[in-house]
Amino acid sequence: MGRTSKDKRDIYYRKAKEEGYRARSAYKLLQLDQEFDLLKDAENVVDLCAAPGSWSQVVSQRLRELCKGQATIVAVDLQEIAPIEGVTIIKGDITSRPTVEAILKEFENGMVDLVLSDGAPDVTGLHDLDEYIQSDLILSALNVATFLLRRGGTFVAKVFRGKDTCGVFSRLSVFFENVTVAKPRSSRNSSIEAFFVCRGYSRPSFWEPTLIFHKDPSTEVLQDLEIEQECSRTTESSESQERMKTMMPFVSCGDLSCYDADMAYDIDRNCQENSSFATSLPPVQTPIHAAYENALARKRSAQQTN
Amino acid sequence: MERYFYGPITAICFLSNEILSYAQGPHLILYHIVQRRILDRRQLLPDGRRIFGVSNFVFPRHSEQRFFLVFGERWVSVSCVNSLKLLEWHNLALIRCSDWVFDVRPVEENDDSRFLILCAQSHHACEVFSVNYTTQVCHFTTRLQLSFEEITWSASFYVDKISETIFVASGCYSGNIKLFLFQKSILETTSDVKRSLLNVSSETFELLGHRGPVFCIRWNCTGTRLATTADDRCIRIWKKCTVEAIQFEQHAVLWDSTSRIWDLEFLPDDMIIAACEDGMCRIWNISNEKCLIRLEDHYGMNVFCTSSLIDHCSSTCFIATGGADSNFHVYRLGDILGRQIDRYCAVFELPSVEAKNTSLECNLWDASQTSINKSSFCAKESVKSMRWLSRESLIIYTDHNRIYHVSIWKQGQEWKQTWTLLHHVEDKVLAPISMTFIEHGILIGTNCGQVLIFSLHDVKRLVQHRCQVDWAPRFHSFQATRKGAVMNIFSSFEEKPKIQQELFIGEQIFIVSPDGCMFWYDLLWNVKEDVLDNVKLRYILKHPFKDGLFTAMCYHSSTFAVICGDKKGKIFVYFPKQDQLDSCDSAVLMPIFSLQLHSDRIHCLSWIADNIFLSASVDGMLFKNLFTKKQDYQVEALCQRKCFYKVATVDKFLKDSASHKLFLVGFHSKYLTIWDMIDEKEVISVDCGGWRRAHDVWFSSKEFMICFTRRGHLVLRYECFEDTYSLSKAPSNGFHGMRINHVLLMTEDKGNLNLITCGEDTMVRNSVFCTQSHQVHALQILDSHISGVQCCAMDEEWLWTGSGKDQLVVWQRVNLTFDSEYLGQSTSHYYHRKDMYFGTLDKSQRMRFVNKATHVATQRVTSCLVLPKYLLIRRNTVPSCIFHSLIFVTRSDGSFALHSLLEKPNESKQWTIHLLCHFKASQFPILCSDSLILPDSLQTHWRKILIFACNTVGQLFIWQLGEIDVQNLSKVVNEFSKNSMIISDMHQGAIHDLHVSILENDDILVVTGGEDQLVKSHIFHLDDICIDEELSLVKQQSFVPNYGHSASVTAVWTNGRVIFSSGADQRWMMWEIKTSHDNGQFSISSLQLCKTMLCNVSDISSISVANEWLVLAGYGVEFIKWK
Repeated sequence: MGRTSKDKRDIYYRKAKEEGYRARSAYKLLQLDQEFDLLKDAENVVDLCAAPGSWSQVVSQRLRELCKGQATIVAVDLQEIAPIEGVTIIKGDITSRPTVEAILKEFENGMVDLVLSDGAPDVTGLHDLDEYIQSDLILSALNVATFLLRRGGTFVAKVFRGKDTCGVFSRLSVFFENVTVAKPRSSRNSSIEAFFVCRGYSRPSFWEPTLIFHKDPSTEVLQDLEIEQECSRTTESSESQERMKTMMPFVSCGDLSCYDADMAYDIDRNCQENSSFATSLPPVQTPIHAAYENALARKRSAQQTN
Repeated sequence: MERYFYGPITAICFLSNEILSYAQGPHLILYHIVQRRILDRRQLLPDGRRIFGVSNFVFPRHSEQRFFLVFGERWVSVSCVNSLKLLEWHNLALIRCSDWVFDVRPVEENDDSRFLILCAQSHHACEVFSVNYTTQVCHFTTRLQLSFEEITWSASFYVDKISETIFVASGCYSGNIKLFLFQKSILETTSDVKRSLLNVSSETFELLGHRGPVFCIRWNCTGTRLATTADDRCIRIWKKCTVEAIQFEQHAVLWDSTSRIWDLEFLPDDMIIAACEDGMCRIWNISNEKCLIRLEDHYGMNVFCTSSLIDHCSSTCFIATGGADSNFHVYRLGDILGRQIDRYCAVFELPSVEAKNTSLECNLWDASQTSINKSSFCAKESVKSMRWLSRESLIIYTDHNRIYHVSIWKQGQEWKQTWTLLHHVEDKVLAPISMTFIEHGILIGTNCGQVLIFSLHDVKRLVQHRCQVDWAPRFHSFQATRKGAVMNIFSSFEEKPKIQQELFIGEQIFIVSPDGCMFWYDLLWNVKEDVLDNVKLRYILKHPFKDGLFTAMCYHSSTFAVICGDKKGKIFVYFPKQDQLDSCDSAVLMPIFSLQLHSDRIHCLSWIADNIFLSASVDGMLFKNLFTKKQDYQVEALCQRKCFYKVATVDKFLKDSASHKLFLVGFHSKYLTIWDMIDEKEVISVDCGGWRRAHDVWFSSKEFMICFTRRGHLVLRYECFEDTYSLSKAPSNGFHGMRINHVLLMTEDKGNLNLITCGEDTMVRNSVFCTQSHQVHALQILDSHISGVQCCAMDEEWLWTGSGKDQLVVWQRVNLTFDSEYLGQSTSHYYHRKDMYFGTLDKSQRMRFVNKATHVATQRVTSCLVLPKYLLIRRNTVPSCIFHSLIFVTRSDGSFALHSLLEKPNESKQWTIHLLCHFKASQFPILCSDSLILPDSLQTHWRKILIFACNTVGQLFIWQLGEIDVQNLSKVVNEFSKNSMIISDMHQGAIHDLHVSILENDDILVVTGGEDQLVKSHIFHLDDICIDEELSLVKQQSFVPNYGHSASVTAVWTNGRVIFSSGADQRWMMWEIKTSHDNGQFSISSLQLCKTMLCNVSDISSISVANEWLVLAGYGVEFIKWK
């Protein structure tokens, strides 16, 4: 954002390949963990919308470092995920009951400590729709999380910060004692992406977990003069101050010594540090079934026949 | 508050065959296709809610009233227009649904005065509202919750009027499509309960096959077929199997698009149109699953919507497409299809050459290799060059040194061809290598410098009597160059009707030799006897440089001036002096004017007016140049652009003197493209099957004959071109299809605003916003950057633009008086490129190929500031250069740089961007900067200006800058540490924008907007008593409001009285700075939010203000009158 263009392959892209992570997003979780100590007390972790599985890689690696032998990690996605050591993979839709039951079956020792959701819908370029579907995904992930989380558990979800972020924030605040918006330094400045880190889960008395997340079915019909007023409305000061009183706490995480995602680093410098050759590395994990591969295959075969 | 938005067109819909409605942000615009003007523009949805769909309908019983249903996000607007002529608009209702709306459909009721509105929503819900249009009352009726399992991305209704049933199709995240069928009767709940929730147990059916989110679903008009598209890039057509039950089966899968598809529409005759992400609109024939047509008018920018209308009176079908480049196009389907039938193609084999040669070598080869034996006996010639003589005859020469005349004509359905050998040169030295025409002859230049001249009459005679005669055509020849080949040959001949029949016709021909000379010959042709009478060398035009080679030429027949282009992109003007004109000796001419415009070989030059010519080069740039006779025959570039989205190299201009049409032949990879330069659209794109083979295009009024070679074949394409192909396009002439990174707004005369926008699409656009008509008119596209343009800065004369790949380009502003009627204004500013600079590369003229180089500049220019010229002291150190402008640049690797623009006085118009100094200030990327010229009372020679910059970790850099001595530039770097201040932790995370202003009491107000959603204002006091020349800024006050934006703040602006801020939450806020004058002491008491507004621009990047207007830029621009 600001005056920065969406940049291509940065230092984290390169580092992810070197260090064997399936996607550069691994560093976002590493930096979030650095700031919030997400994995310190966690034993049972669920990674929703996990494909290609870089977050699960980080979780299993970190938990091994913390010597948690009995930790259970479950990764769920609609797409297939290549196997990861120490991670149970469930292919299924997180909003369907069989999947939730399958997840719960995995945890013999009680409830889940941490639910992660790095799900991003396919960006259409029309931001309004992207943000709407993203917030819908968060809410359905939250819905699943209310089934799974123990009291005091943590929920991390990706958000595209836009028009209606406040609405999602206030909903999350109902379920969690402490909700923070965090932006890891490996997330590009040009992206509107950030993460909700929600800690201290407590189920409100009125909430009974169901799989259908009912929206507030309130409608409103405006007529005659009201239409004009609504269309030409600019919020005046006092009212808007009231409305915007809820300020979301924001944390920028990842310490200053780490790389900046918006900067281009010379390969040479990187080479000296890692003493590896500046060769282009193959992808760590190629997609098992990409949605568009049919279209590409057809295009290629058409070119050959011509 | 007035506000106008220009950005992506997200919905489009026909009202009639003359009126089109399209949606831009929350505005619905009615456009008259025939008159080409905007009829009405109104905001229908509140705030900046983007319109996602528009539909309009007429009830048979109330045919005079036309109803509009417009929806976006969770809002639905119902309005009606009593008559299309008068456009009396009446808003019936504005509905806020409980969830996001994907489709809206009206349902007629038996009761005359009522209709129902069905809203398909996400989560498979459906809400029903009833509208009574006599009493004009609208109220909520019922809500249907269908069984929900997954997040929905799209939905569509079909209402069957006969069986009174309703189908809903919803596309899910996983790619499944759910179909629901219910009776219309359940909608008519007459209960008084205001809100009712129906959990409908309806008939359902699931369509499986797609993978990934379903983006669009469309029913055909009879409800028997369904078209869907998803992330897997294909369209699936589903067909109803039975009459009653809700059962569908897959009927066809349409492949072609490798990008995603956003919108679909069924067309008559079993066709379907799709709007694709790659900027194309594709039309498929469903029955044979073939893609028929690709419409590429959106230049590679996202196409969001498409719509069609069948006019039953004339039985024509209209198509409209709208896209991210804020452009729309209207087509007649018949025209597009007709064009397809009109064009035909024929492929001819080249004649094989019999191997007469039986030399020893050849025999040896024969003995050993039989395969070569065959080919050597029947070797295929390949064409080296070709020229059309007329519609049916073509002159070609081949690599076997044969010159052929080819006649090609169509007899019935068949193509006929005859080949006539005009000349055959055995000797390689005499090989033809260039060709041109004069009125009565064909001129062929050879490898040894000879020019062969054939009489056209002879050729015609030979072709006519080819069977009987056995004679070769006569030809004249003369030695044209002293040594070396005839590299190029040009003539002054132009096709124009000659009234007088003269005995002798004089022609000028120009022959280019490889040593950088051009020989100007006068040819005298005896018409009566059809022979060449006399050849006389007039002048030798010398290229001033050693290895220069002329590649293009145009001749001004009234002034005798010759304009030449060379292989390095320079343009030269030669002018024979008056005394030389009369003298009989051949004189050597040197150029009287030269101009470096292009960065690569100039391919064609052509006059379009008496004093304006076009120049185009291999790098795809097109310049419009002004040739001024008065000022010593100077050439001035008027307007430049990278030709067009698809043309990479320009090869030829085609002129139609009858209709004043001008076309351009260009190449992009293996495609030959013909562009209409007046209407700026593609006419034809032909796949030549290879990179720039021999080709020529012949053109007359509406027909094109295109001939090119492909693998030993000669391919002929005939194209008939219709004016009506694209009926209409948006009046604004398009805009950036991608994000705008920076914007500058300036006032101009007559209340117009000049707008400079830097886009992620590598273009800088210079346009005008007319405050009366509220229209944006494109003036000029500045295109030199090779990656997204990040920032710009300007003063009175110079515009600097900086982009990724560390590129800095400077443009000079020129005021031109124009009387173009469509602009409705008299002056406009055009910019000419003067120089460009790459940070990590040496200054390179060949910018187009820089990205192929191994050392790619990896840093970005993130912001630039034009500094006052007086800062730089030049003690006659470089007396040969004129100093023009000084610029401060920040880059993504956290460094600062100072550049100056210098002009060499000897060689006029030679500009260079000179790097003065460059040093690293921060460890982290610097995102924004601003400068402040201090008031006189605070200025000293070592402190004249303050520069502010911010980086991605919330640090603010303040640097005071005094006079810079060119001789002692290292001092600037050394003093940076002394003269600067770093304030850390201004914000959590990155600071996206910064603006500085001076207050009444000479205090400095710094406003920053950051990632942490805050707008912070700090007031600094500058100590004027200071000993060590050190920067001593004292922070006086800070205002950090504890409310405001709900996402990162990406743009701020202040003038010391108000602050504007804007961010990723699409909110625009106006803060007022409350001041007080206690005891004559000026102080700021508080900062108060006075206005906030949701705007239509997403991804806002910057704010610019000119008088009472401000502009927000991001995905589109929004103009707001804030005062």
